[in-house]
Amino acid sequence: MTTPMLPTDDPRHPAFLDSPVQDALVNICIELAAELWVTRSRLRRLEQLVRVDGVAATELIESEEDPSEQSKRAEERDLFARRIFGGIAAL
Amino acid sequence: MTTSSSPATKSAYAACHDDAAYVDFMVGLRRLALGEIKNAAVAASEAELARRGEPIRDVLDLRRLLDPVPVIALRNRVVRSVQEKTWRRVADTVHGRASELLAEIAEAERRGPGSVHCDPQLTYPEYYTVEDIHLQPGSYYGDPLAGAITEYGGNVFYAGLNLDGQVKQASVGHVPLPADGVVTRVLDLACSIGQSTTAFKQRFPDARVTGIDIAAPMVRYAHRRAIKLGVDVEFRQESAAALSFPDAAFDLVYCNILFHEVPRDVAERVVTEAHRVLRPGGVFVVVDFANRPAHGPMDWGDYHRNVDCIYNGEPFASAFVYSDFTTLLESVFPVVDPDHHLDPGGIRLMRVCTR
Repeated sequence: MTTPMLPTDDPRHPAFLDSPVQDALVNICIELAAELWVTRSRLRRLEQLVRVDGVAATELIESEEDPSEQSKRAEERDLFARRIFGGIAAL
Repeated sequence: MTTSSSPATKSAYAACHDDAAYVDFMVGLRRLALGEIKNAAVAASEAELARRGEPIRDVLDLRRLLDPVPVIALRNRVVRSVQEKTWRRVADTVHGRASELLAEIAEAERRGPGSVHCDPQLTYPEYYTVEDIHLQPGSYYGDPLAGAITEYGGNVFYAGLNLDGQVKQASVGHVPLPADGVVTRVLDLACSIGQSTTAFKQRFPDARVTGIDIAAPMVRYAHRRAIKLGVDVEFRQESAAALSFPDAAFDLVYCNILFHEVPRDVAERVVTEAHRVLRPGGVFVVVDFANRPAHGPMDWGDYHRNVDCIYNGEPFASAFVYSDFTTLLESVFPVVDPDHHLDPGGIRLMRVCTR
């Protein structure tokens, strides 16, 4: 007895969702989540290792940032958002 | 899935932190998929079946009903993706350590404790090569580092609970003794990387313990692993369906999750061989899936089995689950305990046969 299969079953190229696009998007989301976790894990490890003048990086991160740094970060944030989602405006 | 699992940090398994963290994420996502997401999928399937009213007796009708349910469709997608991505990254990181691992495996073959014997004449049977089992690239035989890939990736399959073989050890702990209590020779069939084999030696330190597997990369890696543990066991590459051992050579023969991976005719030969190599009064202990009625009212268990067979490289599991495996055992052994205590409420059974 072999495993009963639907005509649409394709073990090598499974399509579980309404369209191949949806399957691909879920795959992409999982990949991004995994890589985000890798980055968070690496950052956490770095923070555990780094100390500046005896103060742990985990504490330094929570301290107030210099105003000029805040301004630069705001510019970077806007660029970051545009790089990722800017394409929407071109539709 | 309520038991906790430790996060996998850079370890003996991964080539670098990032690989370990990536695989660790897959452990977390699989735990979610087997826990909360599965529970939601089961509830959704029960609601769909209740709404339908009439029982379903054809698994493809069940598939047509449940495949479109959003939580079930997404659950299927996530489980498959986790499996694919895990194997890809595990294979990459193991191959990143290839020269070191292959040298260790080769060096281990020349020393003990224990020993390993491979059979260069053995040809892998067609049924064994028809698919990559559990989607593992190259399956258990096609990659010289398949043992390392199985050990690391298999831990994700067990949702992070089997990195050191704990699931296999727990099953060995449930294995009953022959009535006379004598265990001097143990045979572990289809031993894979030897996690049960070493567990038997640790449980029966005075016994001579042998693990056999059809795949050379498995027994080679199993021996390297046993040496690292300092456990004295013997590994041999051979088929469980054609054993090299004389009649009545063992007190205990064990077979963990092999039978759902082989066709029925092979299963019959394995059972016959197990009976042959057991001494009178010896026990043959089988851990594998429970059987289900082929045309009973179907539920989530039937749905999951079908999807898992098709999309997780389990070409023979469906035929096994809907077979009368206990009856097969009873046709060869005079005494069979069809459900020895192992995993209450779980999908695996421990069947105990006495010769």
